[in-house]
Amino acid sequence: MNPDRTVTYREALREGLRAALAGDDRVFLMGEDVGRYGGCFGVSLGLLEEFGPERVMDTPLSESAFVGAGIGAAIGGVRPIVEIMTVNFSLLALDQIVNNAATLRHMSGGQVGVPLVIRMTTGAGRQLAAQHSHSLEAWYAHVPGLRVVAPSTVADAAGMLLSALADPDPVLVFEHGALFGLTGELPDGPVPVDLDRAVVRRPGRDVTVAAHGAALHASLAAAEELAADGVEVEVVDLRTLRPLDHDTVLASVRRTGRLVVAEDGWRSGGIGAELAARVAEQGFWDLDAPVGRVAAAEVPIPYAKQLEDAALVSPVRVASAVRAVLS
Amino acid sequence: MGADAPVDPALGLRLLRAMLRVRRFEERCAELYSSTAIRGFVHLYVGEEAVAVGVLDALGPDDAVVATYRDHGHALARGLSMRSVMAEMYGKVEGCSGGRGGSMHLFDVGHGFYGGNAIVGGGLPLAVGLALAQRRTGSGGITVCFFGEGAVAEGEFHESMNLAALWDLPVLFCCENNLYAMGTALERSESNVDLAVKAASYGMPAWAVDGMDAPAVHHATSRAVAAVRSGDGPVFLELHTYRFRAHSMYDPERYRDHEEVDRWRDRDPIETLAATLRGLGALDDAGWDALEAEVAAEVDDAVAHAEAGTVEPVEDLTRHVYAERNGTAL
Amino acid sequence: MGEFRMPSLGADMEQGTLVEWRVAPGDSVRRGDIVAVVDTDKATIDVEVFESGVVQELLVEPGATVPVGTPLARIGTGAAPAAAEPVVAEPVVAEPVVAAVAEPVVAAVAAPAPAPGPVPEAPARAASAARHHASVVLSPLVRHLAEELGVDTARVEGTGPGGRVTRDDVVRAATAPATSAPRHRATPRARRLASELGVDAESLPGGGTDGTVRAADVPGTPPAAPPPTPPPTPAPAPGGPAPQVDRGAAMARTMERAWREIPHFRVALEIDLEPMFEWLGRLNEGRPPAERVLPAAVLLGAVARAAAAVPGLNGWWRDGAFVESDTVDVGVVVALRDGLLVPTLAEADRRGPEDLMAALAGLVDRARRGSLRSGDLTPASITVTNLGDQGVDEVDGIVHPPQVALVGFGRIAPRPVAAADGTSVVVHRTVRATLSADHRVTDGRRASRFLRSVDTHLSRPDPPTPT
Repeated sequence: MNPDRTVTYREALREGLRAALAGDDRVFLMGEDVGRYGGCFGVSLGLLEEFGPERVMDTPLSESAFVGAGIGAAIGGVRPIVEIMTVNFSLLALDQIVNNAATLRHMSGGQVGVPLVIRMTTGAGRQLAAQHSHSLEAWYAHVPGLRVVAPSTVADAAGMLLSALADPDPVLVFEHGALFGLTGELPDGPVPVDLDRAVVRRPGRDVTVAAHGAALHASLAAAEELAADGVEVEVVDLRTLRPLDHDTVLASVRRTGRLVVAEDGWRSGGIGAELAARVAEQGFWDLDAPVGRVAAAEVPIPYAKQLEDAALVSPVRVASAVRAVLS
Repeated sequence: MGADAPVDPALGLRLLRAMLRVRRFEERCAELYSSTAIRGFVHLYVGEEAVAVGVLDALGPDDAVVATYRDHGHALARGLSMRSVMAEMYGKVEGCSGGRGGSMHLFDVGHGFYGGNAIVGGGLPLAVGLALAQRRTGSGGITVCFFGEGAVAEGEFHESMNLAALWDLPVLFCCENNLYAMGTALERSESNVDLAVKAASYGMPAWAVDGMDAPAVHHATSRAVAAVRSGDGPVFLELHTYRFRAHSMYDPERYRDHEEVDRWRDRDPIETLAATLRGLGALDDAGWDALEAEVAAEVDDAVAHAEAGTVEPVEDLTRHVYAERNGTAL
Repeated sequence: MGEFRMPSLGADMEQGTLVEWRVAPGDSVRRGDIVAVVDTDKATIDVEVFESGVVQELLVEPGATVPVGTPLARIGTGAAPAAAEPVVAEPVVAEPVVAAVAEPVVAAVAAPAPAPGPVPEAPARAASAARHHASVVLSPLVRHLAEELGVDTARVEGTGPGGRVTRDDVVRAATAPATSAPRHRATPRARRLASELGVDAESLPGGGTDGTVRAADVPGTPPAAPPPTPPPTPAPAPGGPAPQVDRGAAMARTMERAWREIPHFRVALEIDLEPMFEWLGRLNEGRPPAERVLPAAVLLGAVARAAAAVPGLNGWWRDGAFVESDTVDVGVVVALRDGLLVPTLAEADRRGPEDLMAALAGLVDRARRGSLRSGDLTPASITVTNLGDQGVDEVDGIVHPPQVALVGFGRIAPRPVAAADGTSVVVHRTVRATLSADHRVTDGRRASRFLRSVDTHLSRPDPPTPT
């Protein structure tokens, strides 16, 4: 234990990978440019040198083939970690993820499990324009058979991978591109986390804000700002988008009577839509105001900075949504 | 041994019996479908039996098989019991997929049978991954992947051929070229209809085989399996065959004429092999009748077993979506 | 002999149209032969037979649309019956044969042919029956809605076709005698909290957007519970939810005992509340909604003070005798979503209105959250139930043993009362109080005194000086 150890989100992801590779000979990492290049975001830098080319495998630009190969390999008894550069490119492997990974256990009457981990970067905020800025977690969270998780803190970035590898079902890990430089303490290195539970990151008695990814940090910043006005916001980090831990959110709403959901994806059919519906179903009598939602504007994310900023979730927009449900 | 080489009588009789089991099983399926005992999509393999039977007879128990949605023949030839396959057609608990898969998704991990895959081309990456695991674990097994010629137009085909060849993975690609992707003829969908040539461009051995001749298929597969098992990487077989019946149970067959079907029916793989065996003195009327009677009894038994099978209670609906932990689904 | 039936030719096929026969009676067929052409919604398909034999009889004519599974032909062994031959060869003979069998089959799916000859009587009778029912037959939607809204459809004039009662008619009937008091929207949370306090949420002044009543506008609502510190990630509960007291069963036993053992009697009094509203209005003047005192608290205080003033009702029946309590500890019936709780408001007779309001709100909140304190569970000496928010006029309650008295309040509503001059009628806000009591302990005279004492105390804001 090293209480003063501060690392970045990127380094934490790498530590998680290193721990996974060191801990189980069956584990290997494959994806585009994960080896010699060191990962398109530098996450796997140095791992090829440390573990060799059989454990850190560069693949061709064939998302469908290497994701499907990961599924087949997982069925065949090894434990692949497949990296897709970004969620945008995962659409080229959508068939394998949705039609195979998510269905094989069911179609086979429980015979074929797929203990596969797929990591991918999600989110906008870096002026990368529409084809590199999607936040499509909600799409995947729609699909039974998949587990969808989103590490939003340094500790979760390091530990969630270990939990995902321990899971007998396919787990999609959404790493937010805007958080790679986030710093935080990691005193004990990667520690597995409970993938079934959301967690309260900041307690408060007036309004519940549920979020994940970059929107979580926008929400925490908004909570800080609102605290100066005497508004106490409780911020829930959803962590796992499927299965969605609505119990933690409902328990919070029972205390506060108000809910705002912030997400980096689009509003229509989003995580906020799902949470709002569940709170309406199960927490209606605890609501003291309509549920508020903060989401990306319904446009392909534009390149120009002022337009991108206007499209995305920000502390100001979260704070404004909180004030709206309080008024 | 090629198509003209002498056929080993023991092998010939084994292949004949395997093909007849598939044929009679499927004919009964057609009847049951007409009477609505079976529903959903049911794709019959009638006419193509020599391919699955010839290929799978050449495999070992540690090998893995990935099939298509036209998978009854592969499942039976791989050794799944006729009872378990018929029960699956009925959607019963005793089915090889517990009734969750149906005709298009027959699974049996115990037989290394990783399912009928109903997305054209979707099984190829899976097979590459199974082969990757076989190599990493040193199991000594190989993976055989069946797909139709329609899959050759899919991106997943090309990605998978490339990856398997690039990584020298132990995959045997078996392209069942029955000339029609549903109703689209090969020459209407491919710029180059010589599929073995296309495959060879990925740097793997590839050749075409008469898929109506079960012993020839068996012979070619044995060679290919030996090459794949030796660690030299994947091999591609293009198996020329033809389905006698509709794409899915019944179709108007506007895309092909009856004369063409009749020409191929003249090359019925069962009748062809039976004639060969009669010529060799390995089969006579009594032998044939006994074979028919044995298969008919097995089909009757499978239907009776399926009809008496267990209907899964709807309370179990959400099982098998996630791994069961301490008896409860996630 | 077997039957050749309309086959299922696809996953979505429910019926098919016979396009043509490829065989005739007397023809030999083998399993797998094409015997007919069938048109589904998607395609025209050659259909095979699964039985070998001789076609005995064709049961359906080309052009007929029949459901999957309908017999189309009979197939047997040997030659076809002689009578069948003319079916195809001789139309004159064939007609009755084919028609007799085919017609009902066709009729089941296709539109019926115009009936020949005179119109039979039956349809006419059916039509007149339908007309007769038009005025009383209600659509399921309307029937259901009327039940929900408590509308007697016999008294509703229908505006629909033929005088049918429509949905709008029911809604109009249900909302016609609307109250004149101003109503506000209330949030779900506010409605729940108000209900637990015995208050009609929608009658409160709302501080939210467009006057919406929020939780904070429900007087006496305590501030939100302090949030917990972020918990260590909890392990999934192994044995399901935590065990809970079965409130329903406990309450059932208590009520059963009360009904069995206590000889109940009841007195009632309609109390004019205008004097109370007068002093309460002054008390609440200038206060924010959250600090206002509500009538529910004042009613409670008046009962407590009456209980102190009129002996003989505040206490318990124990071992065959009445034991008067030294203090007035009022049981307050709190409706929860899953049953009733009756926590105790101790020494209620010694509290002023603001104190009572706060104590009542705190008690209700704790009951709702399931976090009652030990003091809240002191044995009550008398119980109050207030169903005013439920919109009823009176409560005829059951005494909670071993107590001997229960006071019930209905809604506060504007009602006609005799004016002071005794000759005219004015409209005042009143409440109907009832006292249910144990006749082993007390009698009507004492009970009446008690209710009059409640009335007196309601008109006087000042609590007695604590001794």
